Amino acid sequence: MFDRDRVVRFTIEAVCLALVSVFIMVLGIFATNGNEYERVQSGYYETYNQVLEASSYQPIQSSLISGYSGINGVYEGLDAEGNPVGYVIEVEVTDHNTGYPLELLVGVDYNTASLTGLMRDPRDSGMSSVTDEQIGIIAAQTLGSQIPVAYGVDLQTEGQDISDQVRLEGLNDGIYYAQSLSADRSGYIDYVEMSIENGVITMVQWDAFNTDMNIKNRRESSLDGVYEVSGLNWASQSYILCHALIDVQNPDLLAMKSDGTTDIIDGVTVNIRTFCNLCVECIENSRAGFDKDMYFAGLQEIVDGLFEGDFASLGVVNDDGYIVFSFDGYPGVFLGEDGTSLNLRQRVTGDMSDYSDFDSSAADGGGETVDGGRSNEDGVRMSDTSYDVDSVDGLPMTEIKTFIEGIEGHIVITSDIVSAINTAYRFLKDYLNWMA
Amino acid sequence: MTDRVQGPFIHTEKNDAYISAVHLLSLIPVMAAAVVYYGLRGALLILFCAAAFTASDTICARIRKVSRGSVLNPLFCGAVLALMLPPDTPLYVALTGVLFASVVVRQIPGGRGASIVNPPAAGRLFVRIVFPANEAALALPGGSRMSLLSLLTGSKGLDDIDLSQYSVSELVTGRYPSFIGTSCVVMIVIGIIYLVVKKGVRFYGPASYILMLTVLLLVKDLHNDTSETWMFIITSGVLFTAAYLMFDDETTRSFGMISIVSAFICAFITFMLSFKTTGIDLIVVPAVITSAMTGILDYSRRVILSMGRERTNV
Repeated sequence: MFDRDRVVRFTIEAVCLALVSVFIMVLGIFATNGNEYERVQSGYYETYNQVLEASSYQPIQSSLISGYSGINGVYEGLDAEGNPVGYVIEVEVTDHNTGYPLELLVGVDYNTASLTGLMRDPRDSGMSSVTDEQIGIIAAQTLGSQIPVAYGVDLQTEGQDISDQVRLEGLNDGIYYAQSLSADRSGYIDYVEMSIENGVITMVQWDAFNTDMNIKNRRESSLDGVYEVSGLNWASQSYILCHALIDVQNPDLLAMKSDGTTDIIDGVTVNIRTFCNLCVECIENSRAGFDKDMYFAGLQEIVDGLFEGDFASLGVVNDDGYIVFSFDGYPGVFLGEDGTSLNLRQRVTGDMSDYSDFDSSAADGGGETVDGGRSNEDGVRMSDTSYDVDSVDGLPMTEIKTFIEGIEGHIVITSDIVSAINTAYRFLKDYLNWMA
Repeated sequence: MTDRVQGPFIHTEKNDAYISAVHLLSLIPVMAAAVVYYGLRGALLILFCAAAFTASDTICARIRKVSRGSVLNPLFCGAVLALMLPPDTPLYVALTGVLFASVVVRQIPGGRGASIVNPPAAGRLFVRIVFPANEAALALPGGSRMSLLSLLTGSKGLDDIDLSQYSVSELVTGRYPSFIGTSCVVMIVIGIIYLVVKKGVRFYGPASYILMLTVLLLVKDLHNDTSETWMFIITSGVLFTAAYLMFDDETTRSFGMISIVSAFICAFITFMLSFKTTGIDLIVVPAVITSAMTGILDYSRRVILSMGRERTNV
């Protein structure tokens, strides 16, 4: 094809062409680097300055964000001296009304972890049903506030205790009590004792005694290492859970899932279904004015009735004064005439009124009223305007810094937008070890 | 085995292999720009297309039991096709274009020299029609040079590329989102210079095309903003057409009056298309139409010449 000379000549020409080309290219890149930087910054500024004021913006390495669900990009805002002033996070969430993605820009202040801006990402496909006006409503409620955010009601006005603001309606002060009517596989009978003062739940205790009175109660057994559960010991989990209820004042807000667990309370891994049911019963007893003494008296009456004898001789009262009796072998005791299940109060008093309405309201000054739906399966609450724990997006309630009202009548849209904010928070926390 | 590869340069030392080598080497500056701007994926896309084109030509030639000709030509064709693709083009899209160009455009009509239209241009046009979404798979030059993922998955591409934001120096050096090899004017010019110096193409062919197009555009823009004319020449990729698509010596000759006529036709088509479309259409459609028309023009010229001779004889 070619003689040797020609091959050599072509090779030399190829090498020379390559060298000259690369040299000119490198020269060109150096010559245009300034333009490139200015143009890129100009583009960033035009968009990101709307959610975070900064002199320049630097993209955070893509390796950090790849694979992080819901995060499309993260930019660090810098001031004129090059100090960080905050972050702009491009977040993508699903609009649950349409199923289409919704892309938002979230600006977060570096020092205060407060929201500096929230807007639709200019690159959003526009398929979502969420309007700019709705995004603006959430932005107006969250700007300048610390993230993460939950929606439903403002729970944290400075200087006011949480329990002063949100509480269940119709609670009578006193000490209320409820216990399981049958023992679990380990022989434990769970009980919850609840104190209510000024209409607010101020104390909750969850424990269990054993039908074998030689066995210590569950709390002590767990501290002794006899009763073991995954994660923290049971006593600690019970303590955390009870305080979580005091914080939120409503067992529905513990976001129990269908398997009986909850994701939103750090450290609690045990099944909380029994706890929630007993709390609900205590609350209903409070509304009905059926206090602890009445409960004990009623329980004693029922047990006494079953055996038609002297209650004291049955030996069902343990050292702590609790009535240790499982109704496993007496399934008909708590059935109504129409076959419906009754709780102890209903069985004793015959009062079948519905005390399960969990409406709660601000105690003072006619504050926000929230509705409390009872559907708490899988941590999802169906009620339209509830103080919705699902909005915390897997973040524990104790971590939520700001509570907002949301968009009236648009709980799903509120949830989606709040999710975007909290996704941004989670990213900053998880991947940048920020605010740790 | 019959060697059907013939060319107008066959009687000189500048045979098929020589011309193919010159064409291939003239691509080095453009390929360098592609690799510098788009890194590994740019390099792999070029190598893949060149190798695939060569393999396809070789296999087809063996099936037909004819000579494939110089291996450098299919390498050149594959590389030219790759240089017209967006940087985030998946390999299967590139392969589709290569197979169409090699098999359908070149081998089915009879192999090298028998193509009706320019094979890389036709292959690229095929990709444009079959995978229209791929036209958006553009990327910022200099970004993600080590990334290879897009060769498998493609990419969402960039939105709203506003060339008015770019400085002249960026436009001339091709530092804006475009196809991997059509944007760097400086490198294309170096390629043209090499081609002309090495007589791979006659100067007046590409020059006629650019000149004619410039005149037409200036006439259009005379009352408005003539800078748009220069902007068009720099950013539309027409220089790439002039250098590597129009005068391939397979479908369109790069010398003689026919090359100038072809250049004028091509310029006119480009001018007309500029009102209607942008992007790859402006680069390949004029080349495809012109190469198809050149055969007819050449045939007509021969008929007219022969008729003239007959009259003279009578």
